[in-house]
Amino acid sequence: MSHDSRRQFLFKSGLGVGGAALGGFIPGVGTISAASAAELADPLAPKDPHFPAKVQSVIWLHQEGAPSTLDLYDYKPDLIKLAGQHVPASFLKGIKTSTQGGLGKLYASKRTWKQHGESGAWFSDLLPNLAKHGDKMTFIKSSVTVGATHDISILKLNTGDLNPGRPSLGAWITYALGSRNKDLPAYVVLYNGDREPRAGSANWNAGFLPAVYQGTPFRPGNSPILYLDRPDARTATQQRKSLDLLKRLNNLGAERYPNDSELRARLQSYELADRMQAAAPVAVDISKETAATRELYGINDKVSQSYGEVLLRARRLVENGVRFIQVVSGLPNSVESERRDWDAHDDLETNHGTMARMVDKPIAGLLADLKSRGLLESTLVVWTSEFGRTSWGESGTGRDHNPWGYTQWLAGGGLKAGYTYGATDEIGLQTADKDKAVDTYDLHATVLQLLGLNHLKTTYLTNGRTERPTVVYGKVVTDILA
Amino acid sequence: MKLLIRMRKPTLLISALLAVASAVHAALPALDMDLMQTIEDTNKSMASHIAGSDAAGSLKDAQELHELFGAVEAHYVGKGDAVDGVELSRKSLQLTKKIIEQVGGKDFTGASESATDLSRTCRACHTFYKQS
Repeated sequence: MSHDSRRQFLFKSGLGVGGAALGGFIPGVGTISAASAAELADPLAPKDPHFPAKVQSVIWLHQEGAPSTLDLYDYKPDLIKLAGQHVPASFLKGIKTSTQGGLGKLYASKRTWKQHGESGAWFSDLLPNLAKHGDKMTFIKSSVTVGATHDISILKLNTGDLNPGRPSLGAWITYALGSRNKDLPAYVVLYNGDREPRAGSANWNAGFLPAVYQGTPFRPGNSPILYLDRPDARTATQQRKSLDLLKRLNNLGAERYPNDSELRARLQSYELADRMQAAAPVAVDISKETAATRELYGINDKVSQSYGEVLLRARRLVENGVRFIQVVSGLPNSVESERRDWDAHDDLETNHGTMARMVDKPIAGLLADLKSRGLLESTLVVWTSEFGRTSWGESGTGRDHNPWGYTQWLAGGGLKAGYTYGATDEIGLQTADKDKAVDTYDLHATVLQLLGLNHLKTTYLTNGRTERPTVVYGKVVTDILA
Repeated sequence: MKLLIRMRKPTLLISALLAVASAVHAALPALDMDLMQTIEDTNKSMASHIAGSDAAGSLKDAQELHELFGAVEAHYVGKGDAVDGVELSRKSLQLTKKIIEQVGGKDFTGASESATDLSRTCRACHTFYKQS
């Protein structure tokens, strides 16, 4: 098959975003007669949800490295009583331990616990600021996933699959709903620390969706996007003329290869970059935020400064209509020798002491700030991780990976605030009621639901198969919806 | 010589037991990786067809799955001491039957939900019978 005829074949097969619209697979479009020319020409044009949305934006707070939620939210008196003993066999049913650390004795850290707010949510002493917001939060204490290495489980957390190639949740949302601000990416990735998240761009890519829907990483610091600034020697007029010529040439190419999503994405990105040169620095410029706001986000503390700055940027991006903001936790700038995230295989006390201090005040500040600005009702904040950590100890002072039962939480519009769904067993190892287990697919389905999208009808045709964000699984956790 | 006889007796006994076990195993419907892979592929195909409201494709896949889950059920019934396997394969049979009815009635939303239940049943079964 020649290059041209293959292109024609693909075009006639209905692949690509245009084909998806023709095939009725763009939510809110349905048929070609309903699809506007603008939607077909601009894949980022706003699209209607399937039903009225509860929230407009999502802040996805990925705690990279997997915190021990047993030491943050999931108070287990029996674990403290049984500490130092072997894990009773009754708790191990269905568990296969293939992790490096093996099966150690039960371990209790030096936490103190208290209930907070009207909901009586449990928090450990590691989260004194976040504890004040328990009544805003909806806990899922029966989270499960497939536990493997961090990179693989992180991939599942973000894309729903253990292998690279599927679109990330943010890409699906951008595909399904389009952009709310044509001057900024609809899907932004933020991280603190001096390097990109360890699991890499596979966690914010578009997979088999057109590349235009992938996330755009914003670096910490004053220049969030590499090479975005116009060189001093080049005038705005020169740049505009150059871009216009480039656009004309690329459009000629796009006419020849209408299903080349990479080219379409490049066309979009040149224009977006031009507009972003003005819009992006303003959107993430926190220098004019008040001293009180900076204090609220913990920016005055070296340990929480970098994460606080990132979350303040996240709030500003929400205000600017960015649809999905994926925030990956890194390391405090003040930590020099300790090159770990939440991954406390040993010395959990020091590790979680630092990491909790890094995120506690910033996240509490974010929730308070969103609330005071009237944005919490239209925003969804998700506190998530690739898995949790075991009830047994590793190395005597740490914990191993636990995919069988851990805590995640959500806050924002459309949720039962101050509510807890599911539970782990008495030692916090496994989900107590398997029927209440919430896997990553279920979390994705629930996030989509709050955005007004039916995950079963958010589909895209690729390789002759209709794919959806939740693969072949996924159920909305209806019990947590208001 | 005596020692050899002593050693032979248990050896022969074990061999005989193994032979019986093999014969019983041979009589069971095979439940190998190929069958499981076929089920997985067909399930994904069915989910795709349902999402695309393709009644013919959905029905074909659902009917094939129904037959395949029949083989899975027969395997676990014959195996014995596999309550979870029997229960989950029977649930899968019920779900494929339900999907056939729903697709027949053009209820693709209901069929999509049932197909999700079916996928989750597969996953639940794999947690009981995953390889060490």
